[in-house]
Amino acid sequence: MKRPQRLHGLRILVVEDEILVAMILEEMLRDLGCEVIGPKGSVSSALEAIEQQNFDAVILDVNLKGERAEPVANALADHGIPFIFASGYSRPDLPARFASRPFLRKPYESATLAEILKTTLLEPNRRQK
Amino acid sequence: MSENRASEKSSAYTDIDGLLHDGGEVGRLIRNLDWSKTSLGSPGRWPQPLQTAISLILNSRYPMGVIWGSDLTFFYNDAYAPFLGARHPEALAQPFKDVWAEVWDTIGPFVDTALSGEATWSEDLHLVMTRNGYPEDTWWSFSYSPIRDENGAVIGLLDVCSETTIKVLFERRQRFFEALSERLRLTSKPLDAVKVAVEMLGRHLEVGRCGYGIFDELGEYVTVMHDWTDGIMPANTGQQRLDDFGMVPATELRTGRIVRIVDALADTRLDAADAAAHIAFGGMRASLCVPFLKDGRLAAIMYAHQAEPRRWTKEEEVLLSGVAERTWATIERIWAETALRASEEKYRLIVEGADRYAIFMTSLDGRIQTWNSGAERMFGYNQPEILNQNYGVLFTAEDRRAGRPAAELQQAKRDGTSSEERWYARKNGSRFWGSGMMMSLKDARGSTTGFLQILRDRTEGKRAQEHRNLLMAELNHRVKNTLASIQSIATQTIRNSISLDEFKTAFETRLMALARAHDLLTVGEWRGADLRDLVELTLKTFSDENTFPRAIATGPPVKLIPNAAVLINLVIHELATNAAKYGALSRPTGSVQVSWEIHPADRKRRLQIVWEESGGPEVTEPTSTGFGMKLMKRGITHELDGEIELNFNPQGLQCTIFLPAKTIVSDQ
Repeated sequence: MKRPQRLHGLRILVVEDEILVAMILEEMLRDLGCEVIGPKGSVSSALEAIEQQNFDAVILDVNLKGERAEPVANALADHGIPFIFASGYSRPDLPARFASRPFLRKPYESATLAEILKTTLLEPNRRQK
Repeated sequence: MSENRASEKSSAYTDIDGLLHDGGEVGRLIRNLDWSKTSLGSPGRWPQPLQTAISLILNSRYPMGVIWGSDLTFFYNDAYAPFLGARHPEALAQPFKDVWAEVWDTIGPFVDTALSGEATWSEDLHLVMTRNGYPEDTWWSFSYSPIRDENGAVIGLLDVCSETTIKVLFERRQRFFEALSERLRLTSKPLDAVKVAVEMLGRHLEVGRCGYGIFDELGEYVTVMHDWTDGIMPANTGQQRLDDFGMVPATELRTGRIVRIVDALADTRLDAADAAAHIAFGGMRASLCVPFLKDGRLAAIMYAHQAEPRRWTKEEEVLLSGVAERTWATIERIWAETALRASEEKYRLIVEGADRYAIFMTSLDGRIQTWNSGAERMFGYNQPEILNQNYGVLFTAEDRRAGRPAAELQQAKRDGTSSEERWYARKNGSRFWGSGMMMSLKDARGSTTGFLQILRDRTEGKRAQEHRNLLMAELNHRVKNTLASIQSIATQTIRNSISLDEFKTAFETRLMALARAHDLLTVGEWRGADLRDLVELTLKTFSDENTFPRAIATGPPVKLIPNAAVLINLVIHELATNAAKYGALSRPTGSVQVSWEIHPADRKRRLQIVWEESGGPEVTEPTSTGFGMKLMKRGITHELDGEIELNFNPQGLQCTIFLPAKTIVSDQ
């Protein structure tokens, strides 16, 4: 799969149940020039959004209104869509399959978010910037 | 010899020096004796058989004597001399009957037998002799053989003899000690051992009293534990002060030496008062006393007392010391056994009573060999079914497959102990979290003979720990999410503020709204918060006492789940802030009414909340939506899956919110 050259213009689906947290993430993503899709606040709505496939990557909260986000992660992995886990847990209990996935801790830091997005999504030679 | 008979006289004289040559002390005595007054006459004229016999005994190193003629004149050699004690050398050439007068009744018949021509042999014959001025028990083995003249008539006896007193005493002592040891071995109480010992010794020594006393801590007073008496001397009871019996003997005893008193009234080591104390002590004249020192201090004595003066023999001293030693050894053995039994019993009680601990032993290869009640309770196996099984059955199947049981034995063998915390399997298949240790058991040479394992069921502790960890993780998660929310509020408040003052006010009031919601949830243990409490607390912050009640809340009791409570609280806060700035609460005449109702049949619109303003300035729809408005709209729809309608009626803002059933705590 061809990787994009820069973050600007990338469409990111935000899967996050708490609106305040979703809103700050939107703000940060927009500041990076990304287009925000969603946010989706539940496993079912996130799975519906994946069927649309109108985004480049996903930021996925591990817990969605008391449900584990694993089905969403599985679907994304099956579709080959890049995604980043987000959680308030310092070490979320993820299945072995996703243990090496990039992981974003709450509260968010713009610089860290940008770094993880670049590492995960961009062409390797563009990551240095 | 017959051809010499003519010159018998002269040759005999010549021979006398040869005859007595090398005859030792007795030989000299014979030569120097004035024989003229004796019936035998001078040695040179002695008959040939006598000369030969004398020559024979004088040249022998074995104790021998010659008894000659009708007077039974007694000759002996140097080896025989000690037998005579104080009677040597006066006994030489005296009648045998006079020399051994005190035992003549016993030995006379043997002499007669030998004189009649028949040799005698006696072995270990007991004779009480007074050779040293006092009676002595002695034992003898001897033979009398006839010496005949040329006609065959018995003219004398050869006495070949040895004193066997030492041998006999030794054998008797050994027999006595064996019998004593045999009886002591069967005793199980110190007092019984003492009773056995003093009675046996008392009877054996034929003393008046024989006893055993123990000392106080300072070694000053002695208490008689028990004494045996011959029925004539009185028994002792109570305490005696050792020093009262004489400082010299007391000091001897304290330094571990035997004290022998032959006669208290004649002993120079005792003064009159000491001697009186001895006599007052049951008429005691003679005593023999053996001390027993423990850690350098006088701990006990064993004694023999006599109402008459008594010359204690070396043998009696040896006997008393031997009995005392054996008695002390027995008492110490009993104490040690008692202590061991007490300690074994204590350990048995501990192991048995420790039913909250599984305690068991295994062999080197892990076969279970002991099993206490705690183990039975913990694992569910009883003794018969678990003994001799490998202790691996107590492990979970995974640990068994991983070879943990054997590995643990190896570690305990190598390091002496191994500590472990793991899941164990009960007989019924259930598991418990066991915490404990295994120790290797070693024999005297240091080689491992088996293992001891002690375990505790710490399942509750383990679960509590897991629960705590879960709570900590949950709390951390919640705190991080809250921080993210605050971060969001701060960021977006700042973007919608035109001055720092405005930011400060808006941010602080939003933060306080969040804090209020958290307070209410904390009171409700984070299960939920009451809607009325939320609404009234928020409204209160926007109305003072003078104007109250400008805001009224009405509705049935409803409890919202935590995130609904936080969000509704923020929404009410935003609405109230807006009302205070631009709406009904910005005018003294304005008022707000918040009301809610439940629609039991409607899952999606279970709760309806209506915010209604009146009496304020004329309302116009805002041209742009600020953070507050966005938060309200998106929060209700996105986070709570509810609906929100805002009607900017000119007479007052109206906001209607519908929340689905899942946002309400059902157990209300």
